[in-house]
Amino acid sequence: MSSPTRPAASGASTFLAAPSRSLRFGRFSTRLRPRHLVVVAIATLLSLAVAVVSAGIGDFTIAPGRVLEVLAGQGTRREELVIITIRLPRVLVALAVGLALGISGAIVQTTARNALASPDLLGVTAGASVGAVAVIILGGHNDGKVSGLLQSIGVPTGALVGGIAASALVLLLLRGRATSGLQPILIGVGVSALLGGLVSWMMVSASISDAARANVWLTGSLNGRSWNELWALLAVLAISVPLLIPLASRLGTLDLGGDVARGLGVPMLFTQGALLLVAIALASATTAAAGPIGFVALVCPHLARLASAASRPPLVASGIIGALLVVSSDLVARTVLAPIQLPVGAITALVGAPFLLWLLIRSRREVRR
Amino acid sequence: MTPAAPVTTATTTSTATRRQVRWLLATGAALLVAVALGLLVGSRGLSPVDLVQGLLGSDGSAAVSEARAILLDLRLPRTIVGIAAGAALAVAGALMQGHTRNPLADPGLLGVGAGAALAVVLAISVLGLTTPIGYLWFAFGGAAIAAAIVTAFGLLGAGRRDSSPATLVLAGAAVTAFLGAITGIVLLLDTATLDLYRFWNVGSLSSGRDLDVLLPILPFLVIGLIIAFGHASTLDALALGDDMARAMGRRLAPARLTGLLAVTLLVGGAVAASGSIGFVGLIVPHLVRHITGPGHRWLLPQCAIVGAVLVVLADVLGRVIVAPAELPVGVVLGVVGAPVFLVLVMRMRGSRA
Amino acid sequence: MPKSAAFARPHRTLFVTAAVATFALALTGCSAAGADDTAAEGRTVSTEFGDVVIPATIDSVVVLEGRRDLDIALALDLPVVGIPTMDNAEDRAIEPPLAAAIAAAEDNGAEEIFLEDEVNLEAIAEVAPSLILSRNSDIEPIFDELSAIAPVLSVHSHGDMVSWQDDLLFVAEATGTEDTAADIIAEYDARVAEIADTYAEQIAATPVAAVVYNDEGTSVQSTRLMSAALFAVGALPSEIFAASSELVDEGIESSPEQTFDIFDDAGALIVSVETDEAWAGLEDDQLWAQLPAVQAGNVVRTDKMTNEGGPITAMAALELVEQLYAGL
Repeated sequence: MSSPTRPAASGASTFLAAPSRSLRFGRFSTRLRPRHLVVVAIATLLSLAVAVVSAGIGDFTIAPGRVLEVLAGQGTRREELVIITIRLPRVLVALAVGLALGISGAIVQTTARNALASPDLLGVTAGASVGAVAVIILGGHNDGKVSGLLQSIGVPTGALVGGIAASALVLLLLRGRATSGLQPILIGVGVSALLGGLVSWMMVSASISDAARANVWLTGSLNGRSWNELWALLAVLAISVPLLIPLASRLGTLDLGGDVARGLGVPMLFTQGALLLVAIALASATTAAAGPIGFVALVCPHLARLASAASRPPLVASGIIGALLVVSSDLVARTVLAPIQLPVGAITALVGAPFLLWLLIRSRREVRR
Repeated sequence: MTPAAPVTTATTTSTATRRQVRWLLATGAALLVAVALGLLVGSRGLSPVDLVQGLLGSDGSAAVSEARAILLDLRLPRTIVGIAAGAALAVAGALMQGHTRNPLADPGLLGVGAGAALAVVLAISVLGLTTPIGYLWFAFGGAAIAAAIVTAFGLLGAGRRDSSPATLVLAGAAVTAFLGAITGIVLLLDTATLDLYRFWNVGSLSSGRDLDVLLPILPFLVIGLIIAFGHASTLDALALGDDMARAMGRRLAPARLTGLLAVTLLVGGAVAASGSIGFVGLIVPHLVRHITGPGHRWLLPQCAIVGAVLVVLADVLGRVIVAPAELPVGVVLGVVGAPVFLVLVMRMRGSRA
Repeated sequence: MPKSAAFARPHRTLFVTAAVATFALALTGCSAAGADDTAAEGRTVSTEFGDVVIPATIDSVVVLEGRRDLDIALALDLPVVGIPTMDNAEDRAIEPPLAAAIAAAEDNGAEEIFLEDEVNLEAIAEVAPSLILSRNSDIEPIFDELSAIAPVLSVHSHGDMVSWQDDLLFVAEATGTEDTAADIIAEYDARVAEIADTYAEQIAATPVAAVVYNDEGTSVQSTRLMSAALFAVGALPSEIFAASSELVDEGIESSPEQTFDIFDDAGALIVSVETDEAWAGLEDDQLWAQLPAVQAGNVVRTDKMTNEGGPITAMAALELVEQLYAGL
């Protein structure tokens, strides 16, 4: 069984891996990896910089320095309208989406010990699409005469439920099989195809206006994302991140393989299950907030791992690099063909798909696990 | 096979041949049944009497005229297009699987549809064409180019001993996403295109497609089939591995190119005629292998017949499930084909994953 | 256009609106620029998104969707300055009913400021209108942002079972143009009565239907503007047309095979096709050609522009209705 999780190139860099230090506070100790910290710091600064610049760019361009002043409350009414009401939620949602996708991708890749695993390829995005489209199309019109349950749930929850259900299906089909190798990816592709067929069915049977609305949602765009989406996403992040702190420390052990991890006393099933649940929730919440945005969860863990010369994708760095990627892609999406606003998912696909192809080509020359 | 004493080669061969011929007759009969269903079943229920009279000629009554119009105008053309597309896609799938030694190769999964879609969208948007006949050649070209790219990618993989079938599928997913993003952007720039594109994209045997669309494409499909059938023994040799094939005297490069040409003609023609229909090229060769064994001399013709049966039956199903509306055949195959794909993947038991 | 969280309950949206409004007011208080003078006699209107204060004088209006909202705005002579990009009138086979009015508005300073379906909030903010007018489903997801820019009024779509007349009166009351609205409705009613009287015989004797025809088949929906115009003059609906009027907010879609069966009792048809090729394709459709209405030549052509709209489009639809009955 093949499992291209350890590219030869990073074998060299693991050899030159960054040294790490231990910090002890009384009974607690933790490892510090300086290079990782540097990567996180740089990525954070870059993300914030791009965010500030992005908040200043648009029909009405404001210099970054002025943007900071406006954020501090010293802008004119018009500037505040544009930056705080219109652009800020969008930029914050972009950062949150990237953060969630980066973390989710890192978890999935480490837990599955599979360099090509990602929530999109495991059916989460397709499931969320089914959920959201079902709500939009079956939910009826706004005049109160609607199927009550679907209407009150709303699109984001539908997406959340759909994502989790699809992942459950994939995990069910994977039951008992190893998660490394490409077979789980194929199962994910198959489940995504099935769910995509269901989406097509619903789109074809729907009225034109409903189909148009569903189509807009399916493109994965940050247009008009507002505070509602941000709060929902931040809520999921706020719940997930504390859960990750104890679990993350076990990721390194999981990475060594099931047998070794068990030998070291890690409760494998529980840890893997909990981690995957968090990853799926993050990915579903992202899809619920902004539609399906592909390739971020696949690409960012690789970038984070290469940048911090680690043996496995570091969670925090993946998240921050994800935030950087999404907010930059959104900036490009908004400006490259102005006044037309492209969906951010299109930009991430244009960048991510060649990256995936490159990963596939590279994976041939690897040592098998 | 019969558990008898060793038999002479001649007897074994003729028994095997007779078995294959019997199966061929069986699938041929299935095809006739499928065609009959394609003509008799539809979203508008017609009485058999009117149908038969309609076939024979109009007698002036409204019911028979209506039956005749439905039969000749709607059901017959789409059945014929279904046969052509199904046969072409199934044979193309068998070719792809044989050349790449990849049991998961399928024209639909490998970005061909996305290539054709992009070409069609560009044709509608840039050149202002509005009918399937108009953008026929663009669909053909786009599908052909995408098929060539992805097959070439798969051939690169097949050349190494540690290649993985899933790599090709993932490459197809990447190419589909990439081309899909570009298509989406073009559609955003020109919203009027979306209306026309929507009908074309979903893979349907109706929607303005009639024999006008098929006839220009038909020569390419026929040539593709002929090349494919003639190619059968080469495929058998290739299945043993590149080294063995060379040892048996095949020259690899011309063989690859021939295969590529056949795939391009078949897939391009099928997509141009009927939009992007997935899973046919994946499922049919697997099904047929159970019947005919791996020998391509029988596999390919059987694939053509069974592929035709599958598409026609899927189309009939689509006419009936949500009557009085209709479900396009691409959607039916997507919903039906994906579980079959999953079963195939799960049975692979990770041995070649 | 965003659609997530698209189903926020009105009272929660009201709360958020109030919060945003308070926040904006607080910022206004802090800012160096002088606060805008909110018009002393602004009208407070109760909408489905809560109460909205419309200024007494309206200097500029931005319209988001381009059909009923634009129609009503142009009919009421509101100063429209921002509209979405729409298909060029030259590209369409039939001149859209609103084309002349839009051209006149553009001469007076209206501009296409964003793409259809891609509402650009910054472009609207730049224009700084006194009023934003649009369809409720387009407004709902971005209501907070829009109302931070300007007061927002919403109209319905035909599927909501609210007539354009009701929407017209609603907007007129909010903008102080009640007289114009009353005149418009009176003109429409007079025209309806005129057609109903002149062609009373034909109307009573001929079952009719308004059909949308495309590659997927046919669609009949009684709430479309064209259908509503037929019903207004008292048309006798064909069987399927009558059946569709029993459905509340959806139409009846049928496959191409049904075409003869469902329309064979209609004496005259108004058919909507999008392109000249589609119109030519109708002649090739054997089932269509066998229909009694087609063989008698009682077919009037239109396109999707008459599916939805306001008073101007409705008057154009009445022209087509008259054309239909005059040909009998």
